[in-house]
Amino acid sequence: MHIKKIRPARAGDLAQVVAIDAAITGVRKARYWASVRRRYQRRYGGDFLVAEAGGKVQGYIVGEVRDWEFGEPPVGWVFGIGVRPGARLAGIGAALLAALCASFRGRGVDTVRTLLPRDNALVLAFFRSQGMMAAPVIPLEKALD
Amino acid sequence: MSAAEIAAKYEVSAHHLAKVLNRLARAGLLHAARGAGGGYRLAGNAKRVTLMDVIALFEDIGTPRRRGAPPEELALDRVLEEIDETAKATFRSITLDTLIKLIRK
Repeated sequence: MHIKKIRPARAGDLAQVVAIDAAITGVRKARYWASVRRRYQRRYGGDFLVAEAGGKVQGYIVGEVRDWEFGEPPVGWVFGIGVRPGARLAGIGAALLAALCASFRGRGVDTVRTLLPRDNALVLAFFRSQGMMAAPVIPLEKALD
Repeated sequence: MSAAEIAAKYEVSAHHLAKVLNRLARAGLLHAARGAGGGYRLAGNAKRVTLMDVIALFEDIGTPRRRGAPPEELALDRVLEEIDETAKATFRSITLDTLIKLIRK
């Protein structure tokens, strides 16, 4: 599959993004994705990009540079990535991540980071394949009584 | 690559290596060709086979939870389980293809 273009998401892409996400997670989150498009705009320091091929949105990526969160110097965070299940292993995820990293570099950031459930082996393996290693941070949680 | 070549390259026992290769072949990870010019090659998809797939063939990767043990032992079990689960997630996330990239880097 040949990627035609990677570009910022438009309002008209949202239905396809919702469908891709729902195909992966089993949950449709139309309102969530509409809010993502509002929040992650370039003018606010965020990126919500889509990959277009064959006249359709084949994948998306969402990220943002966060300054001094968790006591850490500015890093680019990838908050979400998704590729149509039938369009995988065609370099779409890699192209989306490369575009987001280029955007982060343009903002003076030299590190990209993400956070995933440890049982999400498929997406963890994808980020590993792109050269990402464990970050020097440890996420912690506890159940609230 | 033949078993003898692999054993020589990594300076391991040819006898032990034969057992390892046989197990990998039976699991469908290696394709074995017999006879002159024969040897072993990867049978699976290097972008899909993970280090955990290989480790699981040779190690018991379960994390048994003890019941009825003293609280201090159960507390230590929880800490060790956390370490174990993190290690397993790491092995599950690294494919053979990624490992090759790391070697070449």
